[in-house]
Parts: sequence; C-alpha cells; structure tokens
Amino acid sequence: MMNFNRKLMVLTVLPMIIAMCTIGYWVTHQTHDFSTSQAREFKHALIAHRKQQLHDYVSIVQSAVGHLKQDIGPLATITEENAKIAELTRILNVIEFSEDGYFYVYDEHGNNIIHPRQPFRVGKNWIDLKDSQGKAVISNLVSQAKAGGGYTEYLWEKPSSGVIASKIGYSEMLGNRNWMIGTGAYIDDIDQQVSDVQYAMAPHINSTVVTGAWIAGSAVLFVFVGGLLFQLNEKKLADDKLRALTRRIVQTQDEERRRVSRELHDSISQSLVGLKYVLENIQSDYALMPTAVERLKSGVSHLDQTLSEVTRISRNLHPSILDDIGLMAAAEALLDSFRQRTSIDIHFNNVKVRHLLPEEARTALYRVVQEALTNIERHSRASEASITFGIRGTWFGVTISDNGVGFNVDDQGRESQSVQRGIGLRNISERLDYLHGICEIKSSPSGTQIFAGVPKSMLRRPIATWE
Amino acid sequence: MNNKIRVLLVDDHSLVLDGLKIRLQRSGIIDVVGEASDGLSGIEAAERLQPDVILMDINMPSMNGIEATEILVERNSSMKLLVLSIHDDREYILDVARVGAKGYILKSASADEMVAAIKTVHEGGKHYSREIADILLSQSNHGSTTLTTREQIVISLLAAGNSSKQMAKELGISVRTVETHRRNIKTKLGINNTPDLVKYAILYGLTN
Repeated sequence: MMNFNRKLMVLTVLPMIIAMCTIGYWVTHQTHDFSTSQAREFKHALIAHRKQQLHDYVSIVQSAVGHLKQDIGPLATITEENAKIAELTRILNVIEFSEDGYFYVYDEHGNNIIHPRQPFRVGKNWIDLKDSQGKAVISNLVSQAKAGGGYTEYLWEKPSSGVIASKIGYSEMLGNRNWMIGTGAYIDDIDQQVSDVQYAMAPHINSTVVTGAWIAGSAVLFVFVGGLLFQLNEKKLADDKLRALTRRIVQTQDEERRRVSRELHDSISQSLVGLKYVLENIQSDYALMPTAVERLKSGVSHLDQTLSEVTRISRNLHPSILDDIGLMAAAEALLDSFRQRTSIDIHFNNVKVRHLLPEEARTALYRVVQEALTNIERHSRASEASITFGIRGTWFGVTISDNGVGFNVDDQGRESQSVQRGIGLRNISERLDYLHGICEIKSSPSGTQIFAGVPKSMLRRPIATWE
Repeated sequence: MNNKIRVLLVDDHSLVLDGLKIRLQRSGIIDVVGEASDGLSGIEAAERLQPDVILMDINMPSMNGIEATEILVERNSSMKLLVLSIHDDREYILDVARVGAKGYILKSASADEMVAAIKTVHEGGKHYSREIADILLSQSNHGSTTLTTREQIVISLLAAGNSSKQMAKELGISVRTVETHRRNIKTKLGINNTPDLVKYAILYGLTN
C-alpha cells in the first residue's frame, strides 16, 4: 500500500517522463524525416543541374558541327560523305568535358557511327543493348532523341575507372540524317555527395536530441529530488511533532506522579502523623479508662498501617529521595531493595557530586536503572551485575551490565516472553530520545549491557538549591 | 530552677507541630520554646532562641532539613540536632548522619521513645532508634560517599579561584571549617591536590 506522498510522486513524475519520452521520440523522428527530405531535394537539385549541363553541351556541339551534320542529298559523292563523317568523328573524338564526358553518335536503327571511348562499337548495331539491370539503353536514347531530345538513366561503364555506374544520358537528333547525338554524365558521385552532407548533419541532429534528453532528464530528476526532499522534510516535521508529543506525555505523567506523591506525602502522611499524636495524647488523658485506652490504641495502630500504606504509594508514584537527596541515593535505594529481594551480587559505582542534572534527566536515568534492575531480576538469570554512573565521552550516564542469558535486542517486544521487557526498553529509549540522549543496548548469551546517557552539557551547577 | 530541656520544633505541618508539642510537654521534662516551619526560619529561630535540642523535619519548603542541619552544625559543631522524618530509607538516614545530626527518629515512633531520644541527645549522646539501627545494619555499608551540599558549594567556589579566606567570608563560617570541608572533599573524592580538584569540578559542571 503506497502512502499518499509516494502516490503524489508517481502521479507527478510518471506523466512527466511519458511526456518527455514522447517529445524525445517525436523530435528524433521529425529530425530524421527532415534530413531525409533535405537530402532528396539536394539530390534532385544536383541532378537537374547536371541535366541542364548535358543539354547545354549538346547544344554547343550541335552548333560547332553545324556544317557537317547536314545530308547534302543524292548530289553528294560517297567520298564527300565519308570526308564529312571523318571530320565529324575527328571533332567529336577530341571534344570532351570533365573526366568522363564525351559525345557519341548512332543512327536511328542503333548502328554506332562515332564512339570516342569505345571504338569497338563503331559500325555495329546496338539497338538491343541492355544494361546490367536489363534496361534497354540505345533504343531508349534513340526514342528520346526522336521525341525532340530527352534524358535516359542507365548503368554504364565509367571510362576512367572501368566501374559500372549510374549515368544520365541526353540525346537529340543530329541534323537531317536521322542520326542521334548523345552524351552523358555519371551520377554516382551525387549519391556520395548527398550521403556526405547527411553524414555531416548527423552530429548536429544527435547533439540536438542529446541536449533535449539532458534537459528532460534534469527536469525529471529535479522534480524527483524536490519531491523527495519535501517528503523527507514532511516526515521530519511529523517526527518532531510526535517526539514533542511523547515528551509532553511523559513530562505530564512525571509531573502528575510527582504532584500526587508530594500531596500524599506532605499533607496526608503528615496529617495522619498529627492525628496519631492527637490520639496518643487523648489516650494519655484517658489513662484511667481501660476500654477507651484500648479503643484508642487500636485506632492508633490502624493509623500506623494507613500511614505506611500512604508512604508506600507515595514512594511508588515518585521517589521523593530523588528530589531530596539525589539520583545516586535514589539509585542506591533501588539497589537496597533489589538486594533484599534477590541473591544477585550487584556492584554500585556512583559519582560523588549531586544535584547535577535537571529534574527531567534525573528522572529519566532513574527510570533506566529501575527498568534495568527489573529486567535483571525477572529475565536475566544473572549471578552478578553492576551499575556505574559517570562521564563517558560527551555523555553523562549510567552503564548497567549483567552476566545473564541476554536477549535478542532486535526482537524486543515480539516474543511474548520479552514483551514487557521490550515495552520497558522502548520507554527508556523514548525518554532519552527527547532529552537528546543516547540508549545503547548490547546483549549476548553471556550478558547484557545497557548504557543510557544525556548530553554532558546538561550537568549544571544547581544554584537554586544552594543560595 | 527551670531545668527542663528547651526544644525547638522545625516542621512545616501545623497538625504535626501541635501533636508533637503536646506529646513532648506532657513528658514533664521538655519545654517546647519555639516552632518554625521551614529550614531557613529554623536556622534563624535556633540562633535567636539557643535551644538545647532541635527537632528537624526533612521535607520542607525553601530549604530542606538536611541542608539546614548541615549549616547549623557547620556554625556550631556541638549543636544538638535530632532529625525527625517519615522516611525510613537508608539513604536518608546516612545522609542525615553525614551532615552531623546527633540522631534520626521516625515520626511513627512512640512518645516514650521520642522523649528518650531527646534526653539522650541533650546529655551529649547520639540516638538512632532500634528500627533505624536495624535499617542501617541490614546491609553492609556500601560507602556512599557523595559530597554534601555545603561541600559542593566549597568545591565550586574553589574551582572559581577563591581562597579559603574568601570562601569563609562568603559562606559566613570560619576558615577552619572551610579547611575541614576541603579535607573531607579530598578524602571523599580520593583527590589530594587542588588542580585535580578543580579539574573534577569542571568535568562535572560545578563551575559556571
């Protein structure tokens, strides 16, 4: 069952994490889409540019060979015709652009007329030539040319490297001979350029995503830590309140016991004593009346019983000795009755000075001794024990140890056998806790040691008692 | 011609005072010359009336009977002081004996015993009733040697740098008495030089 604070945390942090993840995913995705479409556009632009170049080059060549491309008709001799073709071949053989740019000529049936880079094609028919992907090359070029000039994409061997690469061809008709002139440009470098650009963009995209993730992560961490601190603070406040309340309860109880004890002792006991004297005096007055004397005597003895009863009750409520003589004497009084009841050999090491502690601390340490002695007597089966008061480090306190059977410190209050003991020890701990004191319990099968102390700074010169 | 024992009663409870007074007067050998209801006025009455014997209760407002007894004995060590109390704890009795009272008697004691006790003390003896003796003897003495209130004042003044003379003046007692206190303190604490005494006082917060 989650407590309220934890639920609140979950309800705050969980939607935040989900939102962050969604945004993160969306941003990454968008960025990726954007970069892909950017690359596509870039590629299109490059290809368009190259196509335009091809078109321009062919136009230039068309004008350069203007006189050679016209068929003169039946008047022309074979020799003249051959000379023209030879001249055309010579020119086209030397015109080239960039590394792999050249011009070639086919007739409308696919017979090669001129090919500067692949002379073996000249004079043969290539209308059925297909590239490695099965795409007809020459027939497409011819039909583009016949359609008034157009572009064909295919795979072709790159003259500079001998590698098969993508190529765009542009072809149009040459003069009136039904010949087709064409050229082409390889576009494999375009893909390379595009992927270079994409590669260069990747770190930027990544860094954007990473930065986003950092910001989101920090925000979540901030909320989480903030919530945790808030929760801890709430808990501390609640603990403090509980502690203050416990202290108030114990204080009230102590005060009340002390008050009732004083009341019994100071007024009732004294009244009874006074009454006893009065009765005794009357008894003397009636010395000559035997029955009256007897009755008074029995009244006096009842009074004596009542008196000792009241004294006993008063002492149990609060030992007046603790206030009148001090903690050491009160502890010794506990030991006196302990020795009377048990055969356990118990040693007492006191401090020689008195009235050192404020009332509350004095009472607390007294209750520690009382509780510890009860435990030793009832549960420990010890043969020896000792009680030592004194300063230990920054504490002033009392060590009570015995050589008994010990008990499980962590288990206090769970086993039925140690229920009472557990409650008693918890009371001790709580009392010392709110005095900012300490209570250490060590127990093993060979004995138990309890140290209970209050801060040494509590020792003070009790001016009120002295002056 | 009046050789009755002159007694001062110090008790904060009037019913007890009245009963005691009748009880003691009836004996014919005791004259109750004064009554006081707390430690301080008890001291004042004792100095003014100079009684033969003082009967002192313990639990009283403003200054308890043990502290008052210590101061009276400190001023006059032959002061005949009998503590009268309802407490039968050994620690009370030991504490009373320690501050120099000549006896301890329980309030529940019979009139005869009380009169006998006053007589014993008046004649220079000490009285601890049979009950008290039983209590004291019931266990071996474990040597509870805590300092008395006056001794703690002395060690505290000493730690503050006062000389015996200054302390005597401050406490209204003789230098010899201060020296006695100092000797007793050293014996009780098992310390025989002044610097260690001062250290002890500081350790237990007896200094300001």
